[in-house]
Amino acid sequence: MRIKDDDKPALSSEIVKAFVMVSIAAVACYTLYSVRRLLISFVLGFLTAYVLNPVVDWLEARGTRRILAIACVFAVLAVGGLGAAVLSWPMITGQIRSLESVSIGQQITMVKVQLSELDTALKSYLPEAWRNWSLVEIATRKAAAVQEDMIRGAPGMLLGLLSWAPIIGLAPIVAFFILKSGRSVKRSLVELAPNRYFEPLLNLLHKIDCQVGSYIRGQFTEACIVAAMTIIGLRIIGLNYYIVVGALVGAANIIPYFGYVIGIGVSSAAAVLQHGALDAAIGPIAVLVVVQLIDNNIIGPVIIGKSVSLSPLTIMMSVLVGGQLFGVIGLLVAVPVTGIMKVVITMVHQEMQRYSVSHR
Amino acid sequence: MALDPLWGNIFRHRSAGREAAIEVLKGVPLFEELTHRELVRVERIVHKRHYRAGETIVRENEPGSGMYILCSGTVEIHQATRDGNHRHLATLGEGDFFGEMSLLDEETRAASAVATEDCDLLGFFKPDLFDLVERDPRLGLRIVMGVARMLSLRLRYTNRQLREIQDSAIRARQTAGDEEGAANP
Repeated sequence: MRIKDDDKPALSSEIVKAFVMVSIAAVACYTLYSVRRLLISFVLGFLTAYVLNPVVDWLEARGTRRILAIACVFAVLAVGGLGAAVLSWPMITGQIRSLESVSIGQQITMVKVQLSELDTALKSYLPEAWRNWSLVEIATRKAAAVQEDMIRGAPGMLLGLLSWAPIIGLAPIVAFFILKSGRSVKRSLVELAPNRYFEPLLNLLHKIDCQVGSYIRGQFTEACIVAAMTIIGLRIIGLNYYIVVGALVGAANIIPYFGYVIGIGVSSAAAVLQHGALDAAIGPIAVLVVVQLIDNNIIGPVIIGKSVSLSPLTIMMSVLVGGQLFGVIGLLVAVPVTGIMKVVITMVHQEMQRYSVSHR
Repeated sequence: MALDPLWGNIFRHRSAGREAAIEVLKGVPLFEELTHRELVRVERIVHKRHYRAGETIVRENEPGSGMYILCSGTVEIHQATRDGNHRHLATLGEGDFFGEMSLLDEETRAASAVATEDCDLLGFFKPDLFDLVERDPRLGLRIVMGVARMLSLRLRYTNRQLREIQDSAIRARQTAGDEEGAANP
């Protein structure tokens, strides 16, 4: 049957509709961009809620009321965190004092001597015309520039860190309310759907919830295991700041490929600073290589699997965008958020396929 | 007379609606062994939907997620035939239910359900059942056993009907054979 011209929607009304939708989308993006720092609270709260939800469900399944179960979990975390801080405070202050007592000047002199030896060895392989540079001079110039930047930027950095404190402090509150009322909010949103799309939407949201939850908990579990293995490994080789470095390596592991490089950099720098020799970096590098081999071949495939693997290009783009918009926290949450978006898009596509097949 | 917003019991309507839903749930074999407290929990997770006359509730061959229970109105169940027509299977009224098989499997709907007049239905879906199993395993298991029991009863009834049809077919063949034998001794 041919559609009559007067049955077709007017081109001008289509253009107006498209313009209105694009305008709404632009306003929404601008609003989100303006409140991006607040968004971090919601993202962190959301991730925390997904990690804690199985524990709360477990308590509720044993007869505890949900709000009491949530309060118990938060109380245990607060007491545990406080206890860990109280117990580790003497160790941290001791390490800071040992760092202060270590003569940094002596360490730098020893590193300069090693660099000079490396300089001589490298130059012996080069033609005479290419020998008018000095590794020691280059390293000293770079180190001085970095030191000047750090001294100039330190007050700004401190203020920046302080300004993030309330944003991060809001995350547990957001997590609490997501755990308490997340289900009823989701239910209320689903109730608004028209009858035709109600069942597919309910099913889709449930599947997304399950997949996203598994992915986030898997990432968190993997990061904890990597941190634990790194802490043990660094302790064995005698690195002084093994707990802090191990925890940093575990957190950086969330960023595939690049997190590994960050971890090597941090642990090598800590070892060089401790021993005052470049070859001191071999120990931490060896530990991290072993940890990564175990992670890539055993832990990762078992816990996360291949279902939410992201390409290196996607990871790089998401890390760059996350870092640009939200700083250091953006670097850490960029990959999990990208993984979640991939899960959502995949699930929506699968459900649409399922419903379109049934209509054939 | 309109209720006074300060003094009138404006909540009576809401609680009456809730009690009516619990009464409807009690009539479903799936929930007949639950206590009142458990029925209140189930009432909180079912979805109340309204369908206008002529609106399709479930479509044949579409993926299903759960069952529907009629609070009011009438629903017709029909199935498409090979020649493109529709075969009427049943007319359901208040307290009746359909679609319970979708609670257990991922298969598509076996028939379509269309509201013949304005209907209010309670929807009980698989995601909510799975959620209930995690949060209250005892209640979740009782409901799952209820679904299994209902499907078992339907299977036994179907077996009985099939046996009766087979017996009728055997009797008809025997009668035809006897008649043929009598006609050609």
